[in-house]
Amino acid sequence: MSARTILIADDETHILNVLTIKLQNAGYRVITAQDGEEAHRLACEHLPELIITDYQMPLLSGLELCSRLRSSPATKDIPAILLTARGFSMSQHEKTQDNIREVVTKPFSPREILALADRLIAQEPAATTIPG
Amino acid sequence: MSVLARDKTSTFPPAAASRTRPGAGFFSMKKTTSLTLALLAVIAAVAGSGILGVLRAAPLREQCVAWSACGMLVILAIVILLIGRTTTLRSLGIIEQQLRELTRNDDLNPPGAPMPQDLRPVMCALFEYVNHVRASMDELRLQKKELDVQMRVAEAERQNTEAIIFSISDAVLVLNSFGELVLANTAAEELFGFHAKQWRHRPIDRILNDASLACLIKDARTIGEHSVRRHLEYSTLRDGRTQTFNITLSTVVDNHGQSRGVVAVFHDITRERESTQVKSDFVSAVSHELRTPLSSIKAYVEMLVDGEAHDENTRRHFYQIIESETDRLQRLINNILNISKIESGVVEVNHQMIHANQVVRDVVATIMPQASGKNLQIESDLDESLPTIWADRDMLHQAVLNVLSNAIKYTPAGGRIQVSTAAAEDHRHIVITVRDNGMGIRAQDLPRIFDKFYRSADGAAIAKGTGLGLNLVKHIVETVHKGRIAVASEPGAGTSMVLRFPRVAI
Repeated sequence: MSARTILIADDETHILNVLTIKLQNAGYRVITAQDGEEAHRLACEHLPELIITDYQMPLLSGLELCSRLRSSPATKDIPAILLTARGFSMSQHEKTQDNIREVVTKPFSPREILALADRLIAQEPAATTIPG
Repeated sequence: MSVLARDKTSTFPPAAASRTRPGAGFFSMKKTTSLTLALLAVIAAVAGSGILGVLRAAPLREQCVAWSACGMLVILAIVILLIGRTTTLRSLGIIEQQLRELTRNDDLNPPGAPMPQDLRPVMCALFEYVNHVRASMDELRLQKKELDVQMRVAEAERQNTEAIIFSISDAVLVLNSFGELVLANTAAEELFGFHAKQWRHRPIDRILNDASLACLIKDARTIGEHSVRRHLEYSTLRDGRTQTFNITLSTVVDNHGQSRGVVAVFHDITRERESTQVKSDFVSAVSHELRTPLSSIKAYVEMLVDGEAHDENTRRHFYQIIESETDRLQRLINNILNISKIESGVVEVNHQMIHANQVVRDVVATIMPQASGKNLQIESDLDESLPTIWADRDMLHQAVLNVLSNAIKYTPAGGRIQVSTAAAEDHRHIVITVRDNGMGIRAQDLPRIFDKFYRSADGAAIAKGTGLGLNLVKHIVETVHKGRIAVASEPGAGTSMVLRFPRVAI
């Protein structure tokens, strides 16, 4: 895996930019994608340490992206943070897919995302509580 | 029948009569004949012994006297026999006459009527028997009447029950204890596509295509010794659409706890499910649309507070994002509120006579910078003789703005947009048409483009939007102004949106 590389996938440019700035300021290398297909391609290519993905994206949803990453040996262990503005439309099963370590409901705090990223990359045990 | 048989054997009147009066009737005649024959035998014996005795010792004169006496006795016996036979024949004639009378008139002469004395016991017995039979028949007739009435009531109740079952909009299947179809109402025939009359008394698993459903219904017969009601959900695909039913299976059990069959009622809950889904989707879409700009605002404000923007340009950029996302949020809230107001009928409509051309010109002027920025050409072809219409100016402005804004969004750079106004052929409406040569709309998306929050995949990939703009336009045109909106589109060739407003209020 590439050291301290985080992939952010969101079709909302402003969200993508603010998270990029926050994580880059914290010393992470950030790569970005604006749809699910592009995110999958970049994940396979760069093997980031963490993926932060929106739930609702063109071409491939965040859930489908995580599911596809789980099916590949090279990417199945990459932890993911799922951002959603439709928190209550997700089933408990969807929320507990093993590579989705956290589900964060929008509006979120960039500080909170950075803290989660630090913890997951440091391989701390994932919290069982689901924000939002 | 068993009652009748018992009566016949236990109280057979002639036998009873013979037991109570052993010397009466036919038996008296038979006895008379027997006595006569006995008398003849005695006479013959006496005569024989007398003749033998006399013949041994008596003189000829006494012998003659003895023979004469014997002859007299024989003649007397023959006379008695003839009288007895005549009497018997007459009695039989009377009995025959009575029986014929009974056959003709269903009646007998009463025992007190004039009749030979020796026939009275026989006729009494016969009379009693006939009366007994008549009483039994009367009782049977009464029972038959009661049964007829009960049968008619049962038939009427059955017809009522069937009429009720047939009037139910839910599909109803009734099975007997063998799992065979007994009754199916019209809704069931339509749902499962069969004719109940043709399939009556056929096994249910041969009628229904879905083996698992047939199995569920059949199994309900043997649930237990008491009437049991079970509810379960069943979904099936019909004409490419999923239909969901709430099935109630009721076991029919008789007084002995034996299963007599099962009644299955299929209540269609497809609409409820779809309605629930639509509400859920709506709430989810509102949540998404509100949270997304709010998320940007919150994140950029936090970045500024945390000093993550290191220079003035970055800070200004953040402020601009916060401002634009706030505007986006405001527009969204306004759209939702406007639609909700129109839908709930509480919107304030300011109707007045207005020139639609002027409104269209204002909108084009407002939106022109946006079109120019994308290198789009907007052509106006306005009918100068267009009559005024009775409409709300601001709402008309909003409707035309939303349609033009969509045309700009989904038309590639260098494209052309035409706006035209004209009086309709019926002279009672005016028509505003916005035509572009943009990406167009796929046929499968066309029926849904006016739905709240609906966005086609193609449209979402090209431009941002809430999926509320066209819904608001439709409400403004059709709900508020009683006009009509129509769309024609060809993917890759462009879209034509036609707004038709009445000249006066309807």
